[in-house]
Amino acid sequence: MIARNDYAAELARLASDIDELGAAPAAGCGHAHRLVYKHYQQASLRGDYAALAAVDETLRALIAPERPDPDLCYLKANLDFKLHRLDAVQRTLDGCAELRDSAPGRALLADLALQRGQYDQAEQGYQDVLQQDPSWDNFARLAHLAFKCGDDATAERHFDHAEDELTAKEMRHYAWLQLQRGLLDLSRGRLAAAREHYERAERAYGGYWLVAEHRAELLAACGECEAALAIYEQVLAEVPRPELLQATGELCAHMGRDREAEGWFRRALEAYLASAARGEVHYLHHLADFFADVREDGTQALHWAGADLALRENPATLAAWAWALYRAGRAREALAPMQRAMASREVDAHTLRRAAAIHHAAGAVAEGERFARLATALNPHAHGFHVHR
Amino acid sequence: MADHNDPNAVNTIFSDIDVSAADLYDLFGFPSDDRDGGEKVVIALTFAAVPVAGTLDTDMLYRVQISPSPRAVWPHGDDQSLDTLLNYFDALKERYLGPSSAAEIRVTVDEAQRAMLRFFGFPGGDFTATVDTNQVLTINTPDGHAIKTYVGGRDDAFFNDLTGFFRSINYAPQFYHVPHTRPDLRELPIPKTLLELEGNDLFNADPADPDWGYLNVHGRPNGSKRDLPPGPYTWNGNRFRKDENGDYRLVYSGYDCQAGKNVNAIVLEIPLTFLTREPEKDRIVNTWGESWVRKAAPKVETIPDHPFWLESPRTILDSFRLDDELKQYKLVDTDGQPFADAGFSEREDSRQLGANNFWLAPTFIKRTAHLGWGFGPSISALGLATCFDHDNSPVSVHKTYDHVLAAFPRSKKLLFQKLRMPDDSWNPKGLDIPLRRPVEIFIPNVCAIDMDTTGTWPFGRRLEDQVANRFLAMFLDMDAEFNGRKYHLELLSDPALWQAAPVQPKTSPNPLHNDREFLTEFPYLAPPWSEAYPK
Repeated sequence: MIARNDYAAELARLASDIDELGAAPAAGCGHAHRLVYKHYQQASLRGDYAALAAVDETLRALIAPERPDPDLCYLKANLDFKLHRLDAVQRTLDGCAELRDSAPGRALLADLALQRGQYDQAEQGYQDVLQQDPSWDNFARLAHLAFKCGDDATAERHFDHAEDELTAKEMRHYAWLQLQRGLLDLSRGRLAAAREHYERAERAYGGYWLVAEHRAELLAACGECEAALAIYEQVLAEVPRPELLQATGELCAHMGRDREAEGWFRRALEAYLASAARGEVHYLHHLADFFADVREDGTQALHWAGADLALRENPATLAAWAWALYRAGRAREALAPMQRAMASREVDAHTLRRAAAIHHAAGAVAEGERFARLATALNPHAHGFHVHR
Repeated sequence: MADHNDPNAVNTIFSDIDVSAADLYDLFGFPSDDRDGGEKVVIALTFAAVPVAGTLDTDMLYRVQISPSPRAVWPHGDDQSLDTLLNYFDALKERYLGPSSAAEIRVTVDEAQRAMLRFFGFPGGDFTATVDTNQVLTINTPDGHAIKTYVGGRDDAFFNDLTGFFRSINYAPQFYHVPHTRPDLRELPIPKTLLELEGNDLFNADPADPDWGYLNVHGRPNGSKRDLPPGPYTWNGNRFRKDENGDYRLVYSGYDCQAGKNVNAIVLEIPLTFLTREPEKDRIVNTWGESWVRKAAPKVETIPDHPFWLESPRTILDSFRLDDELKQYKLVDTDGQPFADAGFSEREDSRQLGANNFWLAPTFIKRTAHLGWGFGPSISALGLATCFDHDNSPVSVHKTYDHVLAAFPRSKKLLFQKLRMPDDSWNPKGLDIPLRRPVEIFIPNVCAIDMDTTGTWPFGRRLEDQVANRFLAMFLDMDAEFNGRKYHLELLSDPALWQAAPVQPKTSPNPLHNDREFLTEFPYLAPPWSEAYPK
């Protein structure tokens, strides 16, 4: 029988490890590396960006430019990835050949290619790494790529392999995989299958806010809005991330509770803008989305979508830019970036729906209807409640 | 758009996931001295004391596989050709992949720390028994046999200078913080050696820091690891180090790094007549152990089988043998012969094939030659004769092989030579039992217990065997003589040899006795150390 709150238990273990390491006399780099890794793990698990920023500071101090430690660089690159600092990831890899040439480093390079919209290069990179290191996370990477490209059978096959590599000692990773599988089902409108995955994730690793917020989205998509709202509120009490505030606001709006929604939106926007004011870039795409869909403010949406596009040009950021142009009443201008997004390997029902709207608005009605049909075929529930991730 | 995809979950390199309950330590096997009621064989599988000694991990499944057989006589005489070797491996494939697969005892422990032992494939039929852990108990089988059983914590029966061994193979993680991202920096490309190499500052002992490399070793309070210095990680010297008196320096110290440590163990004393219907004929009890960890999915629920099972070489092998239960677990470790992993398989996960390690025969041959270039010149420098052809190299050489054809001529004597025993005590009945050869010992990777011997290594493995010294003795030339006697497997445990050799310290490379006296009765392994044992 699995303990109910695995998340709390793991956090407690991490806190204990950190206390123990903090109290022990520093003995070589191994000690310092373990400690910073524990802090990183703790911050990641909590979804705590402020704590991650502190870890970032520690890493900057620990990494010696003249001889960067590949393990620390790996942590730094992961952290920068989490914060969408792709140039920093590239710099870290370039500055540490030991990491860049290792299997984990090459996986990160492929991740970078994916974020830059270079899907073929990413796929080749993942395949190469997998030859050397057939670990669950590398299978998961390939699954994610196939999922984005609409190749569900391949995605499921890679997810199967990833699952098969995971043991009972890695239940959090297993739960995370279930969430990815659930997202795949959700994005195809297979709500019951998504629910099964999310329930399995909860059984595997109980008490995790990440599982809860996925379940909340699904419940809302299924029309169980009150239950979804209750979960969001519970999650937010522990993890007040702005994208969850926005999701909660959108759910309230979906339920017709506009005043309540506005409260959540205000808090979300405040946090997004505060993050941007700090020079952080990981909420740029949320800001673009927020202004495009919540405020329907094309000017602001263009500002933030443009900033994100400058950071990483991929089908998603191109589509967001096109959508911002559409919101700004520049539908004809939106055609070009949206067509570039559509020409990629990526397939996404929400993007297809946006493409349909843009084409309609630009007078390309037949093309717009074609995109609308494709969106419905890919996900019959695409018009329902969903969260921007 | 899958932004904020949780990288914490796609980050396994720093994984501090504790799977060490899967880390098998040793497999002991010998005929029991207790012959009351007939011949019995003792088999003890030891593994990491995780969570603690006496408490076993409920996600683990341990298998003790057993395959009795007649004593095989090496059919090739003194022929030392590669063809002979390949024919031998071919014959093994038939034996271990054929229809007569091994019987097994499968052990799991539930949340209440009750051990379930399931017996499969034995002549008397399959059955299951559930026993309390940490107690000596008897399982009465359906066909009327009594099997003594102990599942629980014990003292680690292995006594060994592990630090010395790791120094001999330049295994950096014992001495340095090696980045997780650099698995290539574990076994550094410096010659393997029994003697310190002049200028090998990466691994030679540091008199000013005597506990370096002894982290977490009992009695070495200042045990430490160092930060890995920048490379190069090679050695460019041309001789062994000598001290001011002209003596070489042994990389071993004879210190027992396992002293004061506990293990968890599965210990069984099984009547031979339970294992085979032909005990007079099946005089060899081949046994090996495996650890399996439960997969994540079955921990949540049972899920359908995946086509995965037919997609990799090891899986193809498994698909013929795995039953539904084993498909829910993942093989982690195997144990048959001591040093088969650390010495010959370079500790690679993909090489955990147990008795079916004949797949790895080419690797074994190449690795043997690699080790020979390291240990052979060390042995020669001590004034001893080695069976390895190192072209009279005055110092150890780091050499690896891509092809078996190049490696085999160097190591063929090492592979084929009969390993002489120090006296006749191993063969109390005075039977015509052939001495064993390294190739027979390590491929297949099983503990082949000869029921007509005492079961001392390599005719099994007794608790009191100093197997590390015997392993090194395989590199000696068994045709040579020391003090008027032919070389034998115990020569490196002979104090007279070290007194005579130009080396310091004048001690056996490894300790000659366990830190705790073994018991004369079941379960034979000494009780666990109380400080690590749950009260």
